Amino acid sequence: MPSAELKNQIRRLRFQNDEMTQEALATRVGVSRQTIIALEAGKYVPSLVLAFRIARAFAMTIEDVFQYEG
Amino acid sequence: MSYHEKQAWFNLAVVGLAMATFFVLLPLFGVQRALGAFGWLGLLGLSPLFYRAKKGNSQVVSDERDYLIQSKAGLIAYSVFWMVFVGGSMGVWALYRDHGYISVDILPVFPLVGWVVLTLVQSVATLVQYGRGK
Repeated sequence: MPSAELKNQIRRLRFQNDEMTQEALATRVGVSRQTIIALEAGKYVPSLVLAFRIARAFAMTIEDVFQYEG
Repeated sequence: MSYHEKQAWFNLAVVGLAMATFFVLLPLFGVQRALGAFGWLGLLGLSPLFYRAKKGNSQVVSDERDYLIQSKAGLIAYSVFWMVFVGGSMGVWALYRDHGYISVDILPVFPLVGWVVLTLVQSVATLVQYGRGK
């Protein structure tokens, strides 16, 4: 489900983490690269579990990675 | 392209091949024999081969987004299938009610049409959702 209300910093955080590739992040959190692309484009809202996995991959809190703008 | 997209394209190609063969055979052999063209649908059984992971490849074959897309596509296909099934049943009733009976030759058409509709709609719905980047 796409949503303009949930923003994320995944792209920025990837580059801040030694320019981590989409493939590397996808492998680390257990999804396909296409899902990372869809997430960065804001066309897919991840499950809570995946959101936590992504935040943990960057060693950050979930609020640092995802922002709800409702 | 994800494995699900490849599978959807493969399924569309198989259904297209079966329908094209049917319409080529129809004027030559009549409906009953031309229905044999749908034997091509047996190739759909090969589509799970797309899920075979390559050796040493850690790439994720399917994740939660793929599952969501497949669920929606399945729901859409199932809904359309029921509309076609009910419409088809009413159509047969409207056409044959004066005869008082329905030819048994019509019965094999129902599962074939149902299968084609399900596969066709599910594949198209899958490709549309991936195309939108959902």
